[in-house]
Amino acid sequence: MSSSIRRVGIGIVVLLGLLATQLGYIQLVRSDDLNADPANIRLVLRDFARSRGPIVTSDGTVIAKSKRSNDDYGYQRIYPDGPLYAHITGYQSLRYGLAGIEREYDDTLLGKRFEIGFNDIDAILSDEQSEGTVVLTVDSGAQQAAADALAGNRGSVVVLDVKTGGIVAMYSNPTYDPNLIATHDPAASEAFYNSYRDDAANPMRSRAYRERFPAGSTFKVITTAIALGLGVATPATTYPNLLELELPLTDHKISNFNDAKCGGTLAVSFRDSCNTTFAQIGLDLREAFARGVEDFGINASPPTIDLPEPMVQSLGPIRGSYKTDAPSFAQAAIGQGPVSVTPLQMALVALGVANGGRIWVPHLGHELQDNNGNVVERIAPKLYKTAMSGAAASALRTMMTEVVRSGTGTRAAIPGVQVAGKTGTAQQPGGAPHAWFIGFAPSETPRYAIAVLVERGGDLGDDGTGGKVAAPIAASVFTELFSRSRP
Amino acid sequence: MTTALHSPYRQLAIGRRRAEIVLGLHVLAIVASGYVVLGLAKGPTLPPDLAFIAGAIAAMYVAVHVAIRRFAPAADPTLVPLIAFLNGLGFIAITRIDLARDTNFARIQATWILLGVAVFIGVLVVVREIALLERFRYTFGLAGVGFLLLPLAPSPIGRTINGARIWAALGPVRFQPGEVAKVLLVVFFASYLVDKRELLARGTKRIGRLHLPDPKHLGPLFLVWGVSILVMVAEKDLGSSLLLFSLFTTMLYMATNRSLYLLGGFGMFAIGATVAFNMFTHVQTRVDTWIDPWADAQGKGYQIIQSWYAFAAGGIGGTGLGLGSPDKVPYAETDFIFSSIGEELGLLGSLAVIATLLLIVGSGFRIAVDSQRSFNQLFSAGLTTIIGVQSFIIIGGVLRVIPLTGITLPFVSYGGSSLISNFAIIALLVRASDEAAHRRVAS
Amino acid sequence: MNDQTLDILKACLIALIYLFIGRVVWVVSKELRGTPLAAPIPQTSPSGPQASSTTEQKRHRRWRITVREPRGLSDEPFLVSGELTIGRGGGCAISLADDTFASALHARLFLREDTLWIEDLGSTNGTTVNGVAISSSTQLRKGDMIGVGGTALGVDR
Repeated sequence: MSSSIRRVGIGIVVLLGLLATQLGYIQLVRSDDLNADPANIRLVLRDFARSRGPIVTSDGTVIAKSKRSNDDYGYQRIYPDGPLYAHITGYQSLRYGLAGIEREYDDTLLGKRFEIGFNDIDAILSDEQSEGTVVLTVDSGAQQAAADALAGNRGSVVVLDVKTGGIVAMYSNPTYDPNLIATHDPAASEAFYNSYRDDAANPMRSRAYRERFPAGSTFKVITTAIALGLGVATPATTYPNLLELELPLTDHKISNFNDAKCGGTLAVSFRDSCNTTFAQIGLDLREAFARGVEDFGINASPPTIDLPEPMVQSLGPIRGSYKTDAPSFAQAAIGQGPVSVTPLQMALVALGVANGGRIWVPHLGHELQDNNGNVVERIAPKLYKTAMSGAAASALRTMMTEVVRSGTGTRAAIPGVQVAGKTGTAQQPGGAPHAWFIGFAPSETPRYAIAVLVERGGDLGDDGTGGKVAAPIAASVFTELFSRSRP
Repeated sequence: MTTALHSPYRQLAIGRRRAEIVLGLHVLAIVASGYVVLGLAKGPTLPPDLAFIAGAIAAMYVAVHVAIRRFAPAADPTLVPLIAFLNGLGFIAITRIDLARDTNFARIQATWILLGVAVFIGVLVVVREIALLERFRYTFGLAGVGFLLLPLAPSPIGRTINGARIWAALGPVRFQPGEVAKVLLVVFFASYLVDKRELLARGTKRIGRLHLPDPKHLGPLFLVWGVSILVMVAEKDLGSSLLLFSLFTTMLYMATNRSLYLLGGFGMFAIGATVAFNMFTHVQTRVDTWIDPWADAQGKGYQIIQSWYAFAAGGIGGTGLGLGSPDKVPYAETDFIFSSIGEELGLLGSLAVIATLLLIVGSGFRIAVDSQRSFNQLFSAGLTTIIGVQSFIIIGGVLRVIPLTGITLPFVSYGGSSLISNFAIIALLVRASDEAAHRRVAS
Repeated sequence: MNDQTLDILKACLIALIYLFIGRVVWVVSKELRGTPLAAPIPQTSPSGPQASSTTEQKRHRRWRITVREPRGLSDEPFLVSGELTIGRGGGCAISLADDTFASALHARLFLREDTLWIEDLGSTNGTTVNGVAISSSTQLRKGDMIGVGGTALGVDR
């Protein structure tokens, strides 16, 4: 009988082992997706039962905070400037969970990531919530100026700190109000969320880093940098004064803005944004062009930013396609054809020129503080790519300064501080062209890099050019940034 | 027998009881820390007298230890600490759910533990020898069937609660007679099968290549099959029905060592279950919910989905005692108590419960194998099977390994009838273990 | 109460739980190995560093037989060298004069290489090792319990 008893015993052990396996499956393998199940509110409930620390701008403006709520949950998240920072803060919603900085720095805001020493008895025994504060690199004045200058037009403004890669402003129109999604009223939250989601303009998607546009002439900065770097051209290289450039293999032609004759030295062509000159450079560079754009982050994996949604990849001339599709290289050289970029990417290009060729990984977090205001972590600048040599950057800086001084970008100029930049007016089927401006200031010792995009020329529509529509916006943001003395 | 002959036995007894004390102190430390953690997490909301109640439960276990020292000194040293651990963990979990729901189950559970301990000591005192039980086998058998069918008695006695007619009321006290019946029936099964196992194993009739026993010896098998189907249909108690049938079939197999009985038994149960599935909607619902709970996530599948969410929320290390939301799962203090533990103590905690059950089952079967008399062997194995299979049925249900059938998790779930009968089971195993120890050292 | 503290406490609780389970497993495995819990092995710690003195080590590695029951009969262990006889008779190396259940010449302990064996010498009541009656020469291990008549002897080395 012992043997059959043993067998039954083994059978029961096997059954219990089966349970252990299933436990492993649920608690290890399936844990994450069950927790993320929108129908599962238990983790959200737990998070709502406790206060979160504030999110503040570098100048101390609170842009997200917790307030005790008189309902079952405990705390209501409030966004005092709602739509202005929506694409940065994100939201904390019962129904839709966390988004934006709320999600990226969740552990800090909940105070989970602070190590407490065993000798710190007071902290261990204290009843206080150990929530943390997230200080952003964002400047409230610049952010507000960007929103004001866009004046409701669809588009985006990105300002970066040249020395660190910190995002000083990142605003996109249209935007949404995170307070409406964070409300504890589930029906209201769902209704607002659905209306935003169904809106064709996609207000919940930040145009700054989640959408691509043709770059237009701002891309000539990249074309020029590659040509200078490879010695294919110098600022003094002269190009013919042409009405249009015939492209090989097809009967397509590239003409200049307003069908004017344009040409001269590279510097003059840059100032006047001659399409014929740069299309020729694109053809001259051949495959080196496609390789070169990758040093700027085009056709390369984008930098990892501190937001839950990754930056989308920007596109340019495709490697290995020169033989079969040379015209696309000419198109790409003037920011058309295969070129499709995010405003944040173009801000990084401007930063690269301003910073001697070195491009930082952009970030929103400046420092993380515990509830006593002690800095727990400061986010350090991280190199993303070295895009060009210091000499090329220096030459480009001169050319870009000339654009604002006497070229297409004069409206970006502000009193007292020399601005450098490049305008762009990018054709895209389906409407008026997009207006662009990328640049930096002060031109000699750059502190801020900027990219401005106004979709479809904004108020001016077909008459809108980068110089008329985008450059003035850069000017207002720079004016705000330089009007106050800053550390 | 002289003192001298007792010596190795006594030494074994001393060593085992000493080990029991050490293990018991471990459990005390675990439960006490559990309370401290819960208290710190929940702050002043923890009722102050609960510490006193927990202390009283600890004292109960001291009484159990003393009783074993007195009445079964050389019994296995792991059983009582293991059940004390499950019991303590369950008590903390119930207290925790009380806090969230503002209910008062923990206090009532404490009373049940008190009664369970009394029954434990009572069994140890009265059943001085396992062989005593064998003499009253038919009494036990009849009483077992009687208890099993008691809920079907007319209204003042039989009661339907939560859709299952598994309750009986004697005056003001309500209990589940099925829980008592399972212990009584093990006595009957064990002695009947030990008696008839030669006849059942040999097989006198020959059909083709199969040797089958005389049908008259198979009578009780059909009877039990009938009764368990009746329980499933009339009392809507799928869990007990499954438990009863598994118990009898495995005991039949253990007694005869013929796998034909195992196959035949479960084959018959499968036929019965299929018929029930086609005839009764409540059986269909259980199976449908098991196959796809998400089909009716807010309705019939709600419990099981919430249970999965609870386990997932726990992850590896758990949310920490007092920091989860175990009250989001319906019946968290009874059927779904394992989900609460899985949520707040994580995979590590839930696996600890499984490990504990494994150790209890292991000890039980070791006692069975170590026993000398056939009856003791089969009886101990049967009792252990109850604990093992019952745990599997409820945990398997909660984890969606098998269809969910409401039954308690031994020693952990809230519920008096189950607690008391499980204490009786452990007392009987302790008695059997002490007898096996006699054989071990005094051969 | 902050999260870190609760996390630490939670980890302690889980560690405690597994300590308990580990301890149970240890007890069970000890029982399964046939080492009765009743025979705690006396630990005589070496006086010097173990590796430095081989003679020291050798002395401690010798088999010792200690009377466990009845207590007080002899506290001194019997060192096994070659062969030891056990029985009621006075000529036995381990003499159990008061044990009426022991035969005059009851059992014999002997060394084979470095292993210790026991053999029943046709006694009336038999000889047990860890409660199991032996029928032929049986190898003994450290911690085993020998039953001769009413006497329990522990094996150590």
